[in-house]
Parts: sequence; structure tokens; C-alpha cells
Amino acid sequence: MTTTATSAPPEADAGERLDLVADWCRRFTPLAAPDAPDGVVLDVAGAAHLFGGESALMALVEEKLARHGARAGLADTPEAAWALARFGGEHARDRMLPADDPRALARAMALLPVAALRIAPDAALALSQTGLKRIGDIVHRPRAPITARFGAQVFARLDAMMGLAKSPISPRFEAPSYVAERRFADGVMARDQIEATVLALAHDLCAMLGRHDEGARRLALILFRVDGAVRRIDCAASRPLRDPKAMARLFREKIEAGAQGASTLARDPLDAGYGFDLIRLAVMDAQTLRAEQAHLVGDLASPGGFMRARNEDALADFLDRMSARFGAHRVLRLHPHDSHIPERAAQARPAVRGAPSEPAPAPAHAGERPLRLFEQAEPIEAIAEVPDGPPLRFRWRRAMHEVAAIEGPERIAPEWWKSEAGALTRDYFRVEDVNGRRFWLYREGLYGAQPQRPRWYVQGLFA
Amino acid sequence: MSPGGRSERIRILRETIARMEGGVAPGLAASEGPRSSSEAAARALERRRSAFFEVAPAHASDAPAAAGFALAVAGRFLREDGGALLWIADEFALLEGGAPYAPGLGAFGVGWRDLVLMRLPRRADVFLALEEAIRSRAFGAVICEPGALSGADAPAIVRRLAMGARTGGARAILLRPPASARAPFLAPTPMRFEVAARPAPRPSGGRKPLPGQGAWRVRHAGPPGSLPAWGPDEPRDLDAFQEGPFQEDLFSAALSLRLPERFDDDGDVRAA
Repeated sequence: MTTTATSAPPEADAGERLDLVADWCRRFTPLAAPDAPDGVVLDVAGAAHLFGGESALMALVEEKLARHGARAGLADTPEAAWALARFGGEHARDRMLPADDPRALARAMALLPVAALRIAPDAALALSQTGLKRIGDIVHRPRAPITARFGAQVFARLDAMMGLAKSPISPRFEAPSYVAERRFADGVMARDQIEATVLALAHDLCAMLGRHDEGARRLALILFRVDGAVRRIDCAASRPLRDPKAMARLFREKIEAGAQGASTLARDPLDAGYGFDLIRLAVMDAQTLRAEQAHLVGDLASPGGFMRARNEDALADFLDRMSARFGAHRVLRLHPHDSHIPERAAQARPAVRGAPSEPAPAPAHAGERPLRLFEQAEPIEAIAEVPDGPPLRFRWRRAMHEVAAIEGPERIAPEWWKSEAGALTRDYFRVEDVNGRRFWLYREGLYGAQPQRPRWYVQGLFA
Repeated sequence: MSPGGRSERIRILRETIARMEGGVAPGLAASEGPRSSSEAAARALERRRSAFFEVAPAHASDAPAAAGFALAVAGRFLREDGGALLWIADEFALLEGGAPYAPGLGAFGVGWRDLVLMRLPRRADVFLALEEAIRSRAFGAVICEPGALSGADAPAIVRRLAMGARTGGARAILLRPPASARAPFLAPTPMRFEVAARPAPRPSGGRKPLPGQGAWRVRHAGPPGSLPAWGPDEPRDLDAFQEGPFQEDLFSAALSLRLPERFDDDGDVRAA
């Protein structure tokens, strides 16, 4: 069952306003999609009864969006709902169709003008000029001549309208796996009250998760303000989570960080304005989680097993909280990557996505790798005895280093199969200066192999 | 009956309780007595419930050596007690000095799975994260690399963190930024080290010299009263060099030279 609400946003910021209306409509269903240029599509299957039935839901949507001049239509397919909202009768009951009744759908659509097929205006006008003014006029006609003259769009739209072809909607946000929400007659503004509500909702969610032996990996807190604005806060967990306090703690960290400006949140997530009248906590991604403590009991017999499990819990809790506070991109683990180019061999990824696997053993010919690696290799001026020989001395960051010991070269060729433009062969040297400081240098390019002179860089530092 | 029977289970429970309380189970230490005085010092370090190190480069360009020493200490903790290593760093410090490179950490006993890296934009965030890590007891060791350690509030911050490490049972290493290499030490503990790179010995017989591996000259920078009693044959300055792959024994002996031999219950130094 789909309902479509139309609105008439101003031209200047039509897209943004449409997104705001779609966000606001998510109080009726999580599956709300903006339908440019002037509509919003809601999938209200299974949600209408929460608002007193389909009639009451439609009336509520129209009442709340009255200042936008909204009209709603309700039908089994988005195309039919779109047509009813724009071309249906004046009364709301004339823009509603019973669920799962193809005959009623066909009867209602047959009376609408061909423009209700949402085809190009030129095509609709041309159809009308040939006497095919209503959808009913074309339903039973041979398809080939009409398709040849007016395009395939006419019957494609008709099939979608009648439910004969799939017509999925694209919600602005993905559908959650579990949802718990609280509505308030008066908007709540106090942070304590909001945090208490989040904890209560987390208890509800954990009960649902427990019934299905699942835990949450991604959570979203959605706060609906009484003036229509919607706030959304996302959190992730490094492993399936089914602890209400831990869930509430994640959001508290994020809210606190936002309040202090410590994270990249663009605005205070608890800018409550006149208050929130609906607070929703949703599990966006759930994973199987066996009964709690099972792993502890199993491990307790092994030496250090209890401590190991306890440390793992503490580590997961720390990673989740810090990721919530500072952002997942600031709490990282290094993952091996299948590349022999040094700067690509390790990739930093958010720690909440999981621990890395141990890489394959390095090949025997691979040299020692440095302790620290620069994000961008830094150019140096190097002096060598012969053009393609190792450096005797080099200048880096305005300091001259006399080379006392050197090992190399270790030649690393570019990944030619990736067709990187301008990538050159590198000769790496492990270098120690007279003061014992150790560097990882490379010469990029080969003498005589390309027009430009090879250049020297320092890429890493050894202990 | 569980593996090992009743006595085995009691041993496991004792060990578990002792670890939760931050100590060593009675009987465990006694049955594995130290073999030498320097080893006893190393054991003393391992038995500490907590430690807060401050490691400074002797010169700004010795920062990689200081980081290597800090990592070696952290790697030792991980090998002994397990757990993960958290490296908290100011974003600018990583841009300036290079980021930890996982393929190069294996030589220090730190695997890919062991490392968690936090790149934070502000000094306050770095210290906040360190304090949280100390409290959480989630890590075998924590290395903290702030972008700057100056300012009137720095001593108070460091003191707070050191106290947190003591009460939280954490092992944290504060890595002084190169820019403040010569600044006074701040940590109110005897665990202050100044680290410089050490050249590899030059081979005789006209052989080609090769760069060394993981070699440092380490100076204990604690107050005079905190120095342990050294044996007559033990040098005052750590002057150890490792040739070839990282060798645990060499480092163990070298590290123990600079550490106090005994600690009282509060972790303070006691005259030997």
C-alpha cells in the first residue's frame, strides 16, 4: 500500500525542502522517499493501523501538510497513488483504494486522464488529440500501434500502475531491522529526559533483539521536532550489541561530542527548538548474537580465558564509544592490502568494522620495513657517486645527512596492470647516517628509461 | 571435571582474581624465581599494576628512535600479558613524523591485529582518549603521541594521567613530540627515558657497513633518588645494539639496566 503526498515547494530550494518533507513523513513510516519535483512517496504497508487506519492516516498527513497544499492518494502501487493524489476527486475518500483489489484499481484508473500515467506532456497531449483521453481508452487497445507512435513509456507506466510490473521506491534512508519509539504530547527538550528516553527505547530494542538472538551493529536515533525538523544520529558497534546501557552510552558520547564541537557534527544534535514530539531508536543492521556469557563459561576452564573475554568486551566497548565520540574515521585498524607498493600495503579502516586478518608472510626477498611511513613521500636532494648508485649524502628538511651505511636497492615496480599513468619504478635503500638515524629512501625512475631525471624521496623512518 | 582437576581450577581462579586485582597470584611468582638481578628488575616492571612512561627524543631528529623504544617497551608488555596496543596520536604529529606502518611493527612484537590507531585533531582530544583508554583497561599498552606538550596546564595533565594509570592498572607511554625534545620531563614517576639513535658498529676487515636494527642509546632521566642500585659491572647508560632481527633477550637485558629493581606496593621506587 502506498500513499503519495504532493506539495508545492518553492523553486529555489525545492530539492532540499522536499527532503525535509520526506524526513518529516518518516514519522508515519521509515520508508519515505522524495518524489521530485513535488511529491513524497510513503510505503505505509503495515503502518496505517498505528494511526487509526488508512483514512485517518491520510487525513492526518493532509492536515499536517495543509500549509504546503498537500493532497494524498492511497493505492497498491506508487504510480496509482501518484495519479490519485493529482487527478483524484476532491474528497479524500475518492483518492483511496482498498488494498489488494485489482478490479477496483483498474476501475478507478480507467476514469483518470492519460496525463495520470505520468508520461511526457507532449505524449499526453498527442494521445488526447487522437481521442484517447482517459486511461480506460487505451487499456484494451492493441499495444503495438500505440507504442510505435507514442513510445514504450505509455504501457510501461500503465503496467506499473496496475501492478503488473515492479516499481520500487527509493527511501531516503534504508529500512531499519527493529524500531522502538516514544511519542510525547508536549515536546521534550531537557537532555536528561531525552537520554532517559533513549535508554528506555534501548531496553525495548534489546528485548526484541533477544527474542531473535540478534545484536545491533548499527543504530540510528531519530528525533522529530514539533516544528517538523528531524535530527538523526548514527552509531556503530564493533560487534553485535544487546546491552541497553551500552547503546545509550554510545549516543551519550555522540551527543556530548556534538555539544562540545569535538566531532564533525555540523550542528548540535540536540537543538531541540520547541521540543521533540517523537523519538525513535532503530537498529539499522543486526547480526546473530548467541546467549550472553556463553563464551565466558566456555573459556573459563582455560588459563586466562576469563580475562581474555573480559578484555575483549572492554576493547569492543572502548572502540564503540570512541568511534561514537570522535567519528569512526578517527579510530582505526590497519588492514593488509594485496599490493607491493609500500603506501598501499596497509589500509586504515574504521575499527568498528572489525579486526584485520593477519597478512600472508612477506616474500623472502622483501627487505625490512620502516616503523613509520609518511603519507606523502618527501622529496630530498641526494648526491650519489654514480648516477644510478646509492646516495652518499642527502638533504632532508634543510639538514644534511652523511650516509654511513646503506643497504639496497630493493626494486619495486609499479602495478602496470592498473595502468597508472606516470608511475615509475622505485629503487629503495635502507640508509643509516653517521648519527645512527635510519631512513627509507627511494629513487623514482631509471636513468635513460624516461625523459625526466629520477628523483629521490624519503618515505619512511626506522627506529 | 574440568581439564586439570580441582587444583588446576583453583589455580586458574587464583590467577583470574589476582589479575582482576592487578597483582600476581601467590605462588606463581615464587615458583618462577628470577635468574639474575637485571631479570629481577624486568620482572618488577612486569609485576607492576601500572606504569606511566615518558619517553623523549634526545634531539628532534631522534624522534623515530624514541618511538621505536616506546614500541619495544609496549611490545614487551603485549608479549607478556597479551592485549592490544592503542596508539593515540595527534593528526599533525602523524603527518610530520609519519604514521605507524603495520608491516614494520612485527619486528617489535606487534601484529596487525594488535594495533588500534586513533588520529585525533586536537591536543585535548588526545589526552581525553588517553584517559579513557587508561580507565577502560582494554589495552595491554597505550602509546600517546600528542602534537605539543607545552603550556601551563601540561604538568597537571600529565600528573592526572599518571595517577589515572596507577589507579586504572594501565601501562601508558607518553611519547614526547620532537618540538619539545629538550623540555623538562613532566611525568612524576621514575619511568622517564631520553632516547637517541645509536650508530651501528662498523665492521672490520673492509666489509661493507650495513644499517643497524632497533638500536638506541637510552638515558634514565628520573631524579637522582629514583635511580636503582646498579651492580659494579653494569653501565649507567644503556648502550645496547641489536644486530639482525629483533632479539628479545638482548632487549630484555638492556631494558632492565635502566629500571628500578624494586617497587613498593604503590609502585614507587624503594632503595635496593
